[in-house]
Amino acid sequence: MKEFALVKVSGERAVKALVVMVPMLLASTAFASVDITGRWQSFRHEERLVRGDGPDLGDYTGLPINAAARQKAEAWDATILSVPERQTTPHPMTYAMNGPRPNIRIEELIDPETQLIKAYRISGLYQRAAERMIWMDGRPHPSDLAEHTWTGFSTGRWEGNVLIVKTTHIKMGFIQRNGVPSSPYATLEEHFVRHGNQLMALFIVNDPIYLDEPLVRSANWKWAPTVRIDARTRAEPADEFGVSERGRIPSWPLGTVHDEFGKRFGIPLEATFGGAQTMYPEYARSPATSTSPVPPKPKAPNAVAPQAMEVMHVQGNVYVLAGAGALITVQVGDDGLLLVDSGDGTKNAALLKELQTLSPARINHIINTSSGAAHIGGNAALAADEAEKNLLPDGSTGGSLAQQKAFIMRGQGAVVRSHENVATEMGRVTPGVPPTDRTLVPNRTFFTERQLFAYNDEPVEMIHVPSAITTGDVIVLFRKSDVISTGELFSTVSYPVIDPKKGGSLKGELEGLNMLIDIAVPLINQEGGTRIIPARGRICNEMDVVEYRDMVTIVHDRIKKMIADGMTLQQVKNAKPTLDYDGIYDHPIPGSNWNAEKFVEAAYQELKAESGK
Amino acid sequence: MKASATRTARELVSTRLAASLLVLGLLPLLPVDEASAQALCAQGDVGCRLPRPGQVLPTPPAGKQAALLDLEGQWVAVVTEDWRSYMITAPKGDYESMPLNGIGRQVADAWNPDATDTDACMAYGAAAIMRMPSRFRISWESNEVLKIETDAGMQVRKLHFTKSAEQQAAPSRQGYSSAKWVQEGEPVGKKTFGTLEVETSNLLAGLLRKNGVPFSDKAVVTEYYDRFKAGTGEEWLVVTTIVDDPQYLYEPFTTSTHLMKDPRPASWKPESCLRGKPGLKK
Repeated sequence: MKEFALVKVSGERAVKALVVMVPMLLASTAFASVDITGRWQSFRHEERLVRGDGPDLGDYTGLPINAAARQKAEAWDATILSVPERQTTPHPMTYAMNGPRPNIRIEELIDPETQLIKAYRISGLYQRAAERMIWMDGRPHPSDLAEHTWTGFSTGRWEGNVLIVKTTHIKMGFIQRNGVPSSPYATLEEHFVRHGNQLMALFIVNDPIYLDEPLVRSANWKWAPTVRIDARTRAEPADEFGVSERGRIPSWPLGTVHDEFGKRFGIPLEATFGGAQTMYPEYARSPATSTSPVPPKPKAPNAVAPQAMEVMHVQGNVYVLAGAGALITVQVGDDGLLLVDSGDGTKNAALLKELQTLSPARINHIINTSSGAAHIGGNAALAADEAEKNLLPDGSTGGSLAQQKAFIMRGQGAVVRSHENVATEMGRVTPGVPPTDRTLVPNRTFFTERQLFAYNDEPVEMIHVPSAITTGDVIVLFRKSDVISTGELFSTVSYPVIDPKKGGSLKGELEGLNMLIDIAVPLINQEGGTRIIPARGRICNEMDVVEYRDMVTIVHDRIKKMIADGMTLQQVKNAKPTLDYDGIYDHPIPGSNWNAEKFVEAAYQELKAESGK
Repeated sequence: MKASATRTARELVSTRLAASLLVLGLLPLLPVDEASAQALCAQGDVGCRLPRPGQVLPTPPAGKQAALLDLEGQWVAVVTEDWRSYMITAPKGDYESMPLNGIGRQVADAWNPDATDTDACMAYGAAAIMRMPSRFRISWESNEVLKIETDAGMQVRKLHFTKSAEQQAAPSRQGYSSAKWVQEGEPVGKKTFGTLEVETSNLLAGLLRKNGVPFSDKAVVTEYYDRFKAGTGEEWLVVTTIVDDPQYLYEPFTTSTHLMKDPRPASWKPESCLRGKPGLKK
């Protein structure tokens, strides 16, 4: 048994203690603020149907949605939730805090070194959702290149008694569980405030694609230290009846109006459509006079900001490089560098500099996913760069074009691989089109369905996608890193550039996307697992491809039906079959005039020809 | 060496003991108002500190001079929740989300939408008015009274920061509201933060929703007023309303309603609650 003698506290020691303790007490005031930790039970006194069992089809009351959102919501068929890839999806953060319930547990994660709050962790979101982290340590939000998740990326700060949270990088999803959509550009702002044993949160969703004004909602919880918190379920999709048709995506035809809700509750149909004007009191008295106090904001240009040169780790040995044309996939290892695509050739020097931050090793392989200028432009400069660096001490340009050409022609540079149809396409002489520089043409091609080789201790598989964009497209699978580079088959910011003159087709595009989905395996609840690098946009996983596949399928089905109904191309265009997706996918592609209208034209021509067979 | 280690240990113990004594000694000196302390203790808060016998506590600040929030101005309800329950008169029996007990449901089910002898203003009582599709003008009537006017139903609420003779008045549609500022969170420099807490009683029976969902004259309404500025610049006032009615509700009915600052005086359109049933004309 230990004995402790009482020690007389000298004045000097007391002063020492004061010197130690007072700054600690003062410092704590800077970060302690209000304690919101613990278990919180949700009240169910607001929108019980909307947040609980689920809203009626066609109930968009009080939502500041635009025409695009309305079109997407009216097309939403609840049966889509039975599609295997959608059976296990959690709720996106644009909705998750609203329901069903959720009862939540909030924990502080403390930095052991500083004893400051590093993050708040929120558990209990509806069943399949991951725990949510709110970072309090001042870290920045990731760049636009980063992957989106269901919970998004949240940072917080205390302002007096209010915890303010900003969330970005949320997966495309919904703001209400009857198909009212949220785009990948939606953000969430939250204000948490505690009143005794109650916690209130104000939610503000901003979505430049689907909302005319911010959607503002709130929720309340009461402190409940023994309330049950839902555990995260690890769901697996199952086709219990064995009748799911691969690639069939249920949707209501264009022009469907769900009027049952309005009839049931005696609400005029126009009011059920929602819209910013329906949120304000005068709408109840005189709908025509309802206006918003929010000054109209200038419409955002329908364009994606040019990506700055940036490298980001994807998974395993694989990185992605943005800002030099189409996204470039980079595999790094002891054997050297392998690139999938070489950019548009306009920023070779900067590109080489970025690559050197990953590894000083030489580029030994370049795989071209297609013959598009944004994918092959750097072939010569990047393939030759090591030798040219030796020739030119500054290494800034990879040498003169003549030197590069000479080097490649001698076969001493990197191996440039592709499907043989890419090389054939690049060698094709088309009247009025300048011929492709021969030095850019791949020097090792294959003609089979698949081509495998090992590099950097990893199997690399090139898979031919025969008739999606052109006849020569490939996707590249890094088996060990579990990353797929898709080339033009998939993009998060543009419609597929189907080029019938080069053998592309809507049917081939859909087959390619379904194949991509077959290969990809999410780690848990449609998140993580196989990472996918598109031609343009951001790092993705299977769910982003599913959204894209569903979009292409739904537009295909709409146009097919309109053709069956005898509509002309102009009538189909006037019906705006892509309106609900244009904000996300109708962005200019550098060096191309492809847009939504051309996509509709290509789809119409193909389906029209098919219908006549 | 052993003696040295013992000495170090003793010094450590002494330093910790001194620090603990110092902290314990400082705690009673920290400002605390009695009501807050009692409330904390009543909730079982381990940190509750009741004043020592004979300790004189400073009178907590009240009214305009002590305002923790600037609530003045015109605010507009932005109806994004329970739209069909407030923007229109919902069908009879539609009391979704309401914690009505059996008696409450009986009363709601007995509502006759065609009755002409019911008071059309019953839905504009203090228990429901802040969730109405309305504009609200908030201003200081005096240093002790914060006034809230509504254009929908043309109601006037008075939030009293000090005791008033009106507390003894007959029950009314808006009842008697006593208000106080509640400081929350840590001050930053001289800036303090908090909420406005309002308790309203002495109410006439009324409707929580226009389709006959009742509250009784025994209802007590507690409200918290919080103000937020959105990242996009809009100013928001959120009113959390807790209606505790032992007669018709099986648990307190809790909602939070968001109002946006509306700088357009011309949008103020008073309409009497006597002008028939409120809500979207079908």
